[in-house]
Amino acid sequence: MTGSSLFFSNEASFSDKSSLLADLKDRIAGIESAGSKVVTDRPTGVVPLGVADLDDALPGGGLARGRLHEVTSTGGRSKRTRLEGDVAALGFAAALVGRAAGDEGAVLWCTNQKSLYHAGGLHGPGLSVFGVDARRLVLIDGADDTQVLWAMEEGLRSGALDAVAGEVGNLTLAASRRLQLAAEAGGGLGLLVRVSTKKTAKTVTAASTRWEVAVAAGESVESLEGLGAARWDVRLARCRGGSERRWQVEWNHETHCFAVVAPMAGQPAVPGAAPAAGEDTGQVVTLPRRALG
Amino acid sequence: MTAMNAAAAQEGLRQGMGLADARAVLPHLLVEQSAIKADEKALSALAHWCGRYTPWTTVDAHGANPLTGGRDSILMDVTGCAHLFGGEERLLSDLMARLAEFGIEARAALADTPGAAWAVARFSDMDGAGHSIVSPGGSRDVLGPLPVTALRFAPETLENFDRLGLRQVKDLLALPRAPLARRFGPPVARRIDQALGFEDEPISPVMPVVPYRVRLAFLEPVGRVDDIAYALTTLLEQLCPMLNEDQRGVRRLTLDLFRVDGEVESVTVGTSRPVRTTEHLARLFAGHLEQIDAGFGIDAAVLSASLTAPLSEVQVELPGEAGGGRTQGNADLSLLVDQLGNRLGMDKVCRLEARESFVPERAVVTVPLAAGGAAAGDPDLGEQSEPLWPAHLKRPLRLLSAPEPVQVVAEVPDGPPVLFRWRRDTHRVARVDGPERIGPEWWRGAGPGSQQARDYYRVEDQEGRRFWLFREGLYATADVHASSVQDEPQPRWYLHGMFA
Repeated sequence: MTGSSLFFSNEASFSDKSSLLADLKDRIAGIESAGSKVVTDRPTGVVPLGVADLDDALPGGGLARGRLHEVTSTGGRSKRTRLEGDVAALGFAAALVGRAAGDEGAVLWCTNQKSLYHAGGLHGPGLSVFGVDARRLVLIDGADDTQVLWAMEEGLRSGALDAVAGEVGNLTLAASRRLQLAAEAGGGLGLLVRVSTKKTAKTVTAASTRWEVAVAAGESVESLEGLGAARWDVRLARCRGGSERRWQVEWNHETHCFAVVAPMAGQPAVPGAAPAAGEDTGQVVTLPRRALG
Repeated sequence: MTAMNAAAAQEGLRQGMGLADARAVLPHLLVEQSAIKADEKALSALAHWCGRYTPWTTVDAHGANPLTGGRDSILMDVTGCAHLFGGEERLLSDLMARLAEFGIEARAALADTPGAAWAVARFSDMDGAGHSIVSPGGSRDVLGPLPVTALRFAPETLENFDRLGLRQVKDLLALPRAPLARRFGPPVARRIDQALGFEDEPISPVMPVVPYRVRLAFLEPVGRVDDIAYALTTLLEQLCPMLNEDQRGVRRLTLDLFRVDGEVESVTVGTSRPVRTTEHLARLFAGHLEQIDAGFGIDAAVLSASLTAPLSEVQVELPGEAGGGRTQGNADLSLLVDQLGNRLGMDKVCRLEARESFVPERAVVTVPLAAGGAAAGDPDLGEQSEPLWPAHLKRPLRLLSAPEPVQVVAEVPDGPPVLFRWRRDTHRVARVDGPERIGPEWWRGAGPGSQQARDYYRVEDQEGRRFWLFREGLYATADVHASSVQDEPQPRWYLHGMFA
């Protein structure tokens, strides 16, 4: 996808093909959501993240409502260091939920008792930093993943909530598909907050986007005092109808907004793939044969 | 021998006989070990089943079996219920027919008072029907020829009567009351009064009696889930207008299904706040109906609202949900909360509430949403725009349920941490923010944060992870270095939370 703008250098064919592409995308979206016959009265739209850099990477200019999204942490793969990394993912998820709910929306947050034991409970004042108002928050304390998934599904299906977040360990594709269908039926934003395990990275889910979040190691300028804003290394690892990207993002707890610190340009889209040659020098690149035909 | 059936009794067997004597009378006698506990259990199940006739049913506390001390009868108050079954006679014959189907031999009596019914059921000669009805006001005549045992006296009293030659109830009734009471004690007089209806004898029912109760009997036993669901809807449609009239809503609702084999299946659902919408309540039962074991079929259903609360015409709004146009959303949300609560347990569906305290573990409490009374009457609901917590407070996203002790390298006496070790990992602190001192809440008794001041630091380690550490207590101002001399407790470091 990174080469697409270079690829259609001819103006006429570009507009032609882009409309064709849009048409195709619409049709695919129609096919994909065919599972749910329920037509919701809730306007399905997007939740803009408030920063052009991030929103541009997402189809429709934001996180789609009525879809399932996924936030995982890349904090630590070992059992001991997993915890701290997960908090960063949790913070990012809370920020997304806060933006989705806005000032009026209700939120359901499902926690798993097991994770509670290890990492402590969600702290109300800490949540409000990310724009989640505790007064419109319903907390579920599930005994295991099954209960959490069930509660999320019920919450998404009910249509009474703007955002449903759940801390889930492992889940099957089928389970995530169920959540996706429930989200389509209810129109709320579904968010899987996944505890990072070795399996997490490999499993495929039906989520529309997948974000991998880690704390940004102290690269920022020494601020004058204190710690400064929370900073994360955010990678849009999978995005249906969008491209894979990576940013360093800060959260402003006063304006409840993201801010992109440094777009991580030149990062290979897929680890191991060759970086696009000549991107830095601005040279015209010869593309594979297919492009010319 | 503690009990026998009618056929054995006709052959001349009596209670209290030894087994050898009984075998001598009737060589082919079938004997079973008596199981008092199991009998009691079966009896109370039967009492529950009798709830199909009237809510006022109970196992009679006064057993007539002197050998086992076991209770052997069920009391029912059918006042105002008989017409539902076509009269008292029809009710009794229906009851007896059903009991006979279960293979239970029973004697039933219907009288003005529990005492009279108790006596008649045990000691009166009944014709083949096995039940008799004492006409209103006729207790005295019917009781007269019965033995004095029929009035539920204590054994020693009965012995006294026997010695005095008082054999029949009418002998007793003929005596002047005052000397009788003086001679034998007040309980005797009370028993007589209870039998004749001069003194009230309340029945305390097995099931709590509820004012909101609807009943549906089926012509044919049903067993399919669809049929039960239909019955439920029908019952709810009767119940909800009743509640509407009284401006009340359901908090707890029980559906009792009476099976033809005498078992009772019960399903109970709760709601987080008063509800009287048919669809809402029907949805709560949805998952439970499949799990009902209908057995050979269900022939009656009773729906009772065992807990209700006032509910005005207007739907109560969830806290923080004020604002027009969201009423439908509110209804959906409370339905969702009820669905979640009924499956996971009402205490698992919570909301966070702020408390007036700076000690972090006291500042927030999780309150079950089902404690609707507190939510509706929350005093600070008026100021919706006010945030629950001051925005300038920097609090972690995750708070450990209890602060965990950490080993810290820090400057004495009040320097920030430089290095700390938590859960076997060493973290080198790169940046620090703080301290924020949270004073002890001396006005509380023992408990977290009530004894010593805490100095909280927000720290970031070299990998960018952020923690909330605090030092509890202060070093004594004088000779810090002479720590070996002082016997005051040293300050300790704890890790309390993690920032995102």
